[in-house]
Amino acid sequence: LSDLALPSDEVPAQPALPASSAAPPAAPLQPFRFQGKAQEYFGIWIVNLLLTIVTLGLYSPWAKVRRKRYFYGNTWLAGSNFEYHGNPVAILKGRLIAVVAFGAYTLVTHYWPRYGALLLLAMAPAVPWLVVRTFAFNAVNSSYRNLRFGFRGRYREAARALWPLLVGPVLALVLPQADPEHPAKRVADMGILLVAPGVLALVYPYVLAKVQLLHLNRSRYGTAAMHCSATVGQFYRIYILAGIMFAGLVFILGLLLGILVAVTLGIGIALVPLVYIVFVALMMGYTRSRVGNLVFNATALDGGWRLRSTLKARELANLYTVNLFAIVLTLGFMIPWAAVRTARYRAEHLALAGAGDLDAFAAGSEREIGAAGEEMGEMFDVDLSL
Amino acid sequence: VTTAGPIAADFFDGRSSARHLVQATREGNLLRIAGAAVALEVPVEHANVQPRIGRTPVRVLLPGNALLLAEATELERLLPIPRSRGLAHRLESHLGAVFASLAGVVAAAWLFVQFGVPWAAREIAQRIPPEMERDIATQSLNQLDGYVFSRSNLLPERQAKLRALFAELRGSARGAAANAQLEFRDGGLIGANAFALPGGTVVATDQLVVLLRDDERVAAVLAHELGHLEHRHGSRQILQSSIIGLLSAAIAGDASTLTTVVVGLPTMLIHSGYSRDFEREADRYAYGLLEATQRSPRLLGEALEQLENAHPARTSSCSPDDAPPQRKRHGPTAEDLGYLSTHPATPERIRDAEAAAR
Repeated sequence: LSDLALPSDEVPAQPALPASSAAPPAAPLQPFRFQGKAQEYFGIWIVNLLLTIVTLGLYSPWAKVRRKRYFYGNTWLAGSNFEYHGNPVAILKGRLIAVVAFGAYTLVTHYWPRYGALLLLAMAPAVPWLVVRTFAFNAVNSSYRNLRFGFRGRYREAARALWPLLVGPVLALVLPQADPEHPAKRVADMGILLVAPGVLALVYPYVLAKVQLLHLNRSRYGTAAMHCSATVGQFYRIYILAGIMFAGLVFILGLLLGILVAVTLGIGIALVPLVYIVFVALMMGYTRSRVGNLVFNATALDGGWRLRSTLKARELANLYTVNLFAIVLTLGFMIPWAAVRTARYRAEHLALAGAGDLDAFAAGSEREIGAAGEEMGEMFDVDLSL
Repeated sequence: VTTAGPIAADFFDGRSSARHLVQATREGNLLRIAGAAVALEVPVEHANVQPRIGRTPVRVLLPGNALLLAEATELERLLPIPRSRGLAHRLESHLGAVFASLAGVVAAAWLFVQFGVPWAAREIAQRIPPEMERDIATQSLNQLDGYVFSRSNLLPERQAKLRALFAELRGSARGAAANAQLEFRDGGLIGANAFALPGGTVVATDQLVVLLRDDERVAAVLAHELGHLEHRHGSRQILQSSIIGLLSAAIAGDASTLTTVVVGLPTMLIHSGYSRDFEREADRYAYGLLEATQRSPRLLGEALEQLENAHPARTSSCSPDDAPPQRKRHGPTAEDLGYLSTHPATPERIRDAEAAAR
């Protein structure tokens, strides 16, 4: 998820106060602060872009490290900033492996489409490994006060979180293929086409919840372990509401657009991108604020620490709307501005609560992790963060 | 002995998260760090100053995993701060030069997209064995048969006549188009249309044959489809999309989820630009084939005009990746959508056919 979120693995944390009003006496709050400046980041961003293009992408790992160093380094808590230590060479190796794998996948699905589902199934055993390595790479390369974070998740745990994703390719193999000799069955066949995406939508909150819980429950700051008490049911509540909101928005915006197109075709078509941006911003604002609050507020760190997240769906949706318009209208040149103000908003709505001593954490043992997992995840668009 | 400092800094021993407020001083070859619970001396060659980024505190790695953090403006009084990753940092302080070179790069990228990618795709496509493409064609046809097409209702005599015309055209063709097969199908939802499936199958729908009436015009459309086969447009299209996709992933990979939402648009524009080039290339091939068989290129223009009149929303002869044509008559025409269209505007193609006929 990069720029726009505080990487959650760098956040030592604890669940904030429960919603009930009978809260215990409030622990002192240490607010997060983001001190990056759009103008300053613009310089870094544009140089990254230039060097990446000139080197046909080979520079991109260095660009990524500079970007992450900037965002981590400008995130402050209790007088100290976070730091990112990823090694560009490790990231480059990971990216090259990912490019080869992705190229092979694209070719196979194009030239032997009937093996696409089989190939996905064949690659499935690698996915839990990918997830675990991604979390480990990010954690080990993040630090606060010269102590590294860590991640000790197991392959088996990740597999338990991810198995429902197999239903898609399995259904594609099991469901009957269309029968050209019986045209009457075709409508039913079309229905079958919708089964796999439908099942996937049903299991998505489960997978997301399990992956987030694995992430937080197996993360540590130094030797201090994190714990997350969020439940799968809470994720489902958010996504069911998001589903209702999705249907409602599609209906309202679709109706609006339909009327406009009927009245004046030109204006109607011109408005499609606008409506699309507002739609995306509203959906993202809702799900990200709700999931962010749920996960952060349920997270605790040994030593009596908790996180307190106060993201607002409406504020986040406004922020995303303005960002997207600014980016589109300036052909991308406002991306740094958008990234910085999003990071600032997210940091300002996160705080660490606890009466303990932030000086008391001890260093754990760290080991080097290859970056292949993370880079594969990015290439295949496995969006694992919040 | 020269001394510098003291400066205020944060010290972390690497064993705990305790933050020690210290004073750092340089005395000759020694870095002296002193605070309430800290007192150490480090030879400056063991103080590893990390490149800075933005205005974040500069990190000085010390032996034993210890760390000293100080503001750059303070620290440079004691130790030289390396110019990070040399080039990147220097460029950041010359943004004018960055903009100039970026403009150059964008121009180069445009040339690359315009000429480099199509060239690479053409070279690779010519080396793809036809058997591999044939496999795709069989599967695409099976799928279309399953969901859209039905068996053709054209009379066997008409089919035979068209097959003879097709064989005549094919006789003048060389390369990939020389072994092409012709199939007839009831087009169902797709209506009047013709397809070139990579690997050497041309599909014409009953609706197309009925609409055009004149078999010579059907032949002109078939010649256009043979052009798609001859120039390996199917494979080139997928190769070009893959190359563009990988490149934009490499460049936008540094962007965020939010921006990937809007990154799709330029990719789509590039894609439809390539499709239009393919249609023009197939048109030109058709003119050549028509002339080689003593026909007028004008036939293709006439066929396109008939198709345009029948459903103005879309023009004829799609490659198999295209979506089914819109059926309503009041939809936006190809010209309204301009750059979003995958086909050149039909009037333009008709004019080209007229010009080729002269």
